[in-house]
Amino acid sequence: MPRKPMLDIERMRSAEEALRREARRLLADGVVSVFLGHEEGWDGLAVPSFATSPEDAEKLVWNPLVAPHLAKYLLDRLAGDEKVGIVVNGCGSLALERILKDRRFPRERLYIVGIPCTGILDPARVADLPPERRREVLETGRAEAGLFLDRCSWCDVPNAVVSDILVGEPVAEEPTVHEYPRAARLEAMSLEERFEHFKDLYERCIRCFACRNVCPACSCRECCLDQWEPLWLGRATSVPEQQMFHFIRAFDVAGRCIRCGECERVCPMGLPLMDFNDKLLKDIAELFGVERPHVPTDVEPLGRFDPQDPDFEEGAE
Amino acid sequence: MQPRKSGGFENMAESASRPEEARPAETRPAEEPGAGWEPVIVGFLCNWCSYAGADSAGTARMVHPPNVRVIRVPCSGRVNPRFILRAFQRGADGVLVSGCHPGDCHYSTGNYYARRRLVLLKRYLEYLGIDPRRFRTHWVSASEGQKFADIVREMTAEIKALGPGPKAKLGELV
Repeated sequence: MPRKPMLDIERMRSAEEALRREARRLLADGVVSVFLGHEEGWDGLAVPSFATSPEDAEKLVWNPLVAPHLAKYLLDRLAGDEKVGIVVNGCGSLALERILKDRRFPRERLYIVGIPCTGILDPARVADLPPERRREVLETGRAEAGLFLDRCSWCDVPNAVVSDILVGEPVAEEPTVHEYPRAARLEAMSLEERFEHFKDLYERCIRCFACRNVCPACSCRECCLDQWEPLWLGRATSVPEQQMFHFIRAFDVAGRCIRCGECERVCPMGLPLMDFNDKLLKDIAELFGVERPHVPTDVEPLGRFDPQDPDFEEGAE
Repeated sequence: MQPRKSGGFENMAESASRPEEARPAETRPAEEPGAGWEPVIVGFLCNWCSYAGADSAGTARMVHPPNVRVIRVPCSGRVNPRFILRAFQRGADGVLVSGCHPGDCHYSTGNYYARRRLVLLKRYLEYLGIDPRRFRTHWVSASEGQKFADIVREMTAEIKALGPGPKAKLGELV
């Protein structure tokens, strides 16, 4: 079993201090021209912040609500040769590693501040709490397991996998046996039940592309979903087109998905989008013997092969 | 079957615009199963092995159902998983992907990559609620005309028993 997620408010406060100090230094010394972090939004939740001066660094926060991954914002900084600072925790570093392994941003233009992490809360679940309870959770850190992000429940990367400097003491890493309960639940259903489950999802999808835009594995210069020629995805919002949209979105990141669940978190319709990705992760683990399919590697499972791979003519499904 | 006129591009254009009624009844797709309903199977066959295998089944005059509509691709690795889903959405009752045996790929490794994708896709389509019997993947070499004919016969019979494909449940692609 993975380490149980928990909040260590003291630890986060000292990490926040160190983060501000580090960002201030980087910006003042001109090491980076912009620093990507989080700041407090109008509703108290954490939103991405782009600090460009040492004074801006004072706005940066590190609290239980810093769920949004920042790596995707690097793509807006591709032009030019300025150096960019970025703060990542464990899962944030997976997203960053994804962008780096896909060679979408040069590593030498990055200065990465890593923060060891013991768990982050799901902002939507915290926002739903009564005000007193919310204050209590955020001030004392006493939060039940259900308030954490789904990805905390299986996290085996508490410390940043890639960083230039690590702020705070590393968290002990514990090996995790990866399970995919979401996929397993659906697999237990009949074919028709599954079809109806997904049809309901297709019908509710408004195709806002938030899931694609937030996904760290979806970083093509030109997205096939936007192309007119060939028209991979028709513009009508019919069930088959929605099915194609979700098929393309999930299958194109198969083998590269970091299982962060950001797609699901940003979905304005609250659709269970990780139902798709979980199945692909599970099967990739089973079929190709990949123990940690969510950790980016140089050549991903579908970009390589083994002559001894399971074969469909020899009884493999 | 109607007698085929000699080939040529003019004829291809003509046959493409031929009204539905003029097509042989046994190859015409129908919405409802019943007497005379024939499944439509889209077959992605690789140029170097399976297409030649289908050809050899034909030249050897092996009798097999005419339900497979062949799309020739350079390699099984060319088959984007989206093609398969789209085929189902456009009304295919079954999809067949066939390429060279592992180790025999004209491009050395194309079918190995394809195998990973297709094995994964097969499970995934089932997960999405599409009957796995509707999607078949095989290795057919250029000399295996008999195997190709057997596959087509088996698959056609199976899909005939299953009835129309997922298009009926998904609705029209507009």
